[in-house]
Amino acid sequence: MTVSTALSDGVQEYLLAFADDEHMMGSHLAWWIGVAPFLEEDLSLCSIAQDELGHAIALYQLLTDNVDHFALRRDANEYRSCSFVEVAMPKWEDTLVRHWLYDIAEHIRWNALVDSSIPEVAVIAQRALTEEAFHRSHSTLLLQRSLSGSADAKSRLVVAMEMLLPQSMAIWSPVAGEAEAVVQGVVTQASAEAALAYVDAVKADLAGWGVDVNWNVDEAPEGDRLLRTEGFNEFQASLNLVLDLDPNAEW
Amino acid sequence: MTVSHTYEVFLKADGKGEFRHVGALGAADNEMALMLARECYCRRGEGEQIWVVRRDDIAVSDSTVTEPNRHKPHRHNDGKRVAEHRRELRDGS
Repeated sequence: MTVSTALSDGVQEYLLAFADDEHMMGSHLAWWIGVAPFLEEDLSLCSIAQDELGHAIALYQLLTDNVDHFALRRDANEYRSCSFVEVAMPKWEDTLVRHWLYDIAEHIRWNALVDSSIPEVAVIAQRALTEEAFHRSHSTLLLQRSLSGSADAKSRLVVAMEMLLPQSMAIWSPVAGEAEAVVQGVVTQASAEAALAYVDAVKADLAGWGVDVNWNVDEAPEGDRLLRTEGFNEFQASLNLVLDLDPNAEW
Repeated sequence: MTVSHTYEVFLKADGKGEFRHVGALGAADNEMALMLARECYCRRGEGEQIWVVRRDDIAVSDSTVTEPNRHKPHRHNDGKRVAEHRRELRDGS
């Protein structure tokens, strides 16, 4: 996509952070194809994964002409994803809770881009929000039903929530370029402000479900997006498996 | 306690087409069934509208209801006799 405005380094870093989050989440959700607890969720999660990867591609296209290489072949220190989306979650309850939390945050993040000073970003945000409504609906419906299942199911989900709620604040760890993006009107809400809306939305869901969870809300960790989590290199290598078979192949 | 029910899924394409059965799925309730039907059967926009119906709510016949109607050739009309009659009238024979 041709961008009508030249993007400053800070704005590029801000968009990159969101794109990398979408890329990581989409890739981790896609991992469940063939192994989800039931077929309906197998397909649903992979549909959602495709949407998230589509959002990542749309943002990457604002930053590069070679999306595949950019998305998959960068050095680890060039990624700006947060720790919350980088780690593998092979337990179903962890994946479900992360899906719920990430999509609450994602909805807030896209909403902060619909009035972006960059028209192409605004268009992507509007399109993404129509899909996010269903992602939110999917995660909350499934979580609500699962919480009203057996005592064991509820207990496992609460354990997952208590582990992941503090970790999820990493989503709101800003990159250095965010200040520039806010000043230029690329995004209309800074991460610190968005984090407050996020906490309110999460607590509203929990209250609606009548679930008590121990969660001492901390501020987003600083510098989270400059560090790669343990296992990142292996995960990135797994994403490159097919590409590595023939790096010069044309797809 | 959440229980999974089997739902039958129907899709209607754009325009005046009829709803067609496309498959089944398991879901806790109607709302969840519609959500899953969207993702499982309509992810490429195959339908404009979705029906989900709990299989338990469908009235089902057994073969005793349909069997007596299987051997009634007089109810089959292949059009030959009507065509023959019209030809006779046209030819005046």
